[in-house]
Amino acid sequence: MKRLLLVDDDPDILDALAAVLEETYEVALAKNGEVALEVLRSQHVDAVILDLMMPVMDGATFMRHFHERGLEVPVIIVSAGTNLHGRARELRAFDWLAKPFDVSVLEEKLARALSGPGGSSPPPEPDLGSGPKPAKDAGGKGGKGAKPQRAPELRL
Amino acid sequence: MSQRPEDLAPKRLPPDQYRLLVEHHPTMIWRAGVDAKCNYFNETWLAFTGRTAAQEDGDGWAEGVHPDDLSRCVDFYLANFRRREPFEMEYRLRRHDGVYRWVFDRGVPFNGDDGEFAGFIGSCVDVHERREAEAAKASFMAMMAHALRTPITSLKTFLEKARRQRLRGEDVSEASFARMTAQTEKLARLVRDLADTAALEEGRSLDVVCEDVDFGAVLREVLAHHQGAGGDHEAAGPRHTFAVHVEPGSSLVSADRDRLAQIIDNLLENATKYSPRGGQVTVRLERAGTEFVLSVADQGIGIPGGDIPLITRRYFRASNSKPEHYAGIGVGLAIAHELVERLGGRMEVTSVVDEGSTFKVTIPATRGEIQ
Repeated sequence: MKRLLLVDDDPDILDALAAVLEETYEVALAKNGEVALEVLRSQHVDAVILDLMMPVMDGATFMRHFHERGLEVPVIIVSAGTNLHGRARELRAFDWLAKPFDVSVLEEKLARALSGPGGSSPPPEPDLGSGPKPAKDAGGKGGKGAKPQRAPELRL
Repeated sequence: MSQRPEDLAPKRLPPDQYRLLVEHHPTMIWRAGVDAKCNYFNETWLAFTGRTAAQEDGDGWAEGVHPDDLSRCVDFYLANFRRREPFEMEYRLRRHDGVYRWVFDRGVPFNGDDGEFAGFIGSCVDVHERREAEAAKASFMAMMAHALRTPITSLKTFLEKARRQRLRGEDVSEASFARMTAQTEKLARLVRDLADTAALEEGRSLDVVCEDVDFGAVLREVLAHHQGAGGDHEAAGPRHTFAVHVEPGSSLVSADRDRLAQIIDNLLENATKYSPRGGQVTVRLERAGTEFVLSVADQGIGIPGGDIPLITRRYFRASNSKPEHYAGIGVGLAIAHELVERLGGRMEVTSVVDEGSTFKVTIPATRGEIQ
C-alpha cells in the first residue's frame, strides 16, 4: 500500500482527508513543516499533500528543506491561498489544488503523482480555482526607511 | 441711483491675501511650467516633505515619491501634461519623518495672461487613513474567504466519504455526522460574526434581549461543544483540555442567552486558537460581590504589552499573530467586548508573551441574586 504524508495545521482538514484517503492509502499526518520533515527523516512516503500557511514552519520553508535534502517525492500543494499555480512552480511542487476542493480531484492528482516519476512534471495550467494574483501596489502601506531616490529626468 | 456692473461682481481678494491663502492652505499646492518642471511649492508642501523649495523645484519633488509608485506616477503626469488635460492620481509621498503617506493629487492646466497654455497647477491632500481603511477592508474579505474555505473543505470531504459508504451499502458513521455538524456550526459562527461586524460597521448596536439567565448553565453548554471539538486523529495532536471551576449554586444574570453564549464561545475559540493543541484552558466562574466573573486563561502565545489596549478593536491582530498562521477574521474579541458592554459588564485582559492570556468578563448579578 502506498504511503502518504498529509501536512496541515488545521486538525479538521487532517481529520477529513485522513478519513477518506485511509481507505486507499496508508496515511501519516503532520501539523506543520517541521513535524513533516521529522516524519520524512524516519519514514518512507510516496507522496506529500502540503498546506502552505502553517505556524512553526510553513509550506514554503518545508519545500526548501525538502529540496536541500534531495528528496524526490511528489508534493501536491493544497491551500486556501492565491496564485497557487505560480507558487507550485516556484516551490517545484508536482501539482496544486485550491481549498475548498473535491477529494476525488485530489485522489486523481494523487494517482497521477504516484504513477509517474516523482516531482518532475510541471504543474498544469491554472484553472478557475487558482484565484487572481493581487495587484502589486494596491493598498500598499507607507513604510519607513526607504532611501531617498534620485529624481528621474522628466521630459515631455 | 444705478449700480455700476463692477459693484455687482463678487469682491476679489487683494493679491497679497491670495498669496497668504495659497501659502498656508491645508492642502499642498504645486505649480509646473510649460516644460512640466515644477517651479512652485507652497509652505504646506515644504512642511510635509521637510525639504526646501530649491530641493523640490524642477524634478526634485519626484525623489520623495515611493519607488513602487514612481514610474506609474511620472508616466501619468507627463501623459496628461502633453494632452493638457486635468488629472487625478494617488501615490505615496515621503513625509519629513521618512514615513510614506498616500496622497491624492489633482492637477489642472492653466493659461497665462496672454491666454496661452502656461503650465499646470495642482493640489494634494493626505488620504493615508482612507487608503489604510480600504486595505483593512480588502484584507478582511480575503481573511473571510480563507476562514470559510476550511470548514467547507472538511464538510465536502466528509460528505464524499458518506456518499461512498452509502454506495458500498455501509452505514454512515456517527463520527462522520458529528464532524459535519461541527463544521456546519463553525460556518454558522462565521456568518454570525460577519453579520455582527456589518451591524457594528453601520453604527448599529447588536441586538440584545435580556432575561434572567443562569450564567453557569450557559457556560457548561458552550464548554460541552468545545470539549467535543477537534479531530480524534492522534497525529493531529491531542485536544485541548479544559480545567473548569464553577462555583456551586445559581448564578443568575440579566442577559441575552444567545449573546452570553456567543461571548463565551468567542473567548474559548480565541483561547484554543492561540494555544498549542494539548494545552490546558482554565475556565473559572466565580461570584465577586454583586457580580459574576468569568475568566478564560490559556497557555498560548500571549499578547505583546503594547497590543493589549488594542486587542478588542475590530480587525486588530496582535503583532505576534500573523494571519497566515492563525486563521480567522479578527473580529471575535471585538464582538465579545461590545456584547459584554451591552450587557452592562466589562472585559479585562492580562497577558504574558509565550506564557498565555487571561480574559476576564464581569457581568452584574440580577437583583434576585443580590438579595
